[in-house]
Amino acid sequence: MEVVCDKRDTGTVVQVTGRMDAGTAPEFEKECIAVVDTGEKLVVVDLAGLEYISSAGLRSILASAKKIKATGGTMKFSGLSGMVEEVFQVSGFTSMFAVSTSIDEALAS
Amino acid sequence: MSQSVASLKTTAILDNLEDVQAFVCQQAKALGAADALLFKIELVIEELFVNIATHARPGIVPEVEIACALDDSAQAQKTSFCVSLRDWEPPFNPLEAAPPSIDQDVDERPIGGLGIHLVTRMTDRCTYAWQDESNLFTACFDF
Repeated sequence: MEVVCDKRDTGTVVQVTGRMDAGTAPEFEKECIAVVDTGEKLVVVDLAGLEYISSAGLRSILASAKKIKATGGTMKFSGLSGMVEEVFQVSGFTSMFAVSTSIDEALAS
Repeated sequence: MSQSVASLKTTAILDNLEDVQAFVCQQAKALGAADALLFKIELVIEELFVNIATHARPGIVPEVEIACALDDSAQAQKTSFCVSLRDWEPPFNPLEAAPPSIDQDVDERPIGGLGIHLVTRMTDRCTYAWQDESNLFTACFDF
């Protein structure tokens, strides 16, 4: 898994590629919390390059989202497809989070 | 009838997860599983394997036996690929876990509890049995 954080004018984009599983998920949480610690209020997590996610990945996402919300910020998602989208849907994450088709749409909404 | 085609015995530690997933997916593919089914099998294996590691006795690295089979018995509505995970830890039935509340918002929703939910949603059938002093969990995927 690779996590790349990109600071934009209206928020920070966190692009995740590869596999978010029991071994790699803690790294995502660590990167997200580092972004929140900078005072960022809008984090857009782009999962267009994510091939696989398990409950360990969902756990890290929810833990990160709670942290961001506690500071008055928001976490949004873009680029869901395939198995990642299916796992989000059956876990209720697509209704819990704002999900956009593109990064730009998520940053603008 | 259910035909066991291959099995693997290993220890339930995270370092072995990738090999176990590869082994099970290889067996499923050889038996005719479509590519679209493989991610579900891979996901279910991770959830069950990690569950065994998590619920082991303190200080114990649990052994786990993974067996793959094709179920084309008369009782089965369709031909299925079934994978069983057996461990010799204290009795633990993951299917007895309370279902997670998936309609809560970020603040209310507790962290965790989604593993067995994903298992039940991604399989066509799954069963738990305490058998021969071991936990035996079987997950089946219809072709």
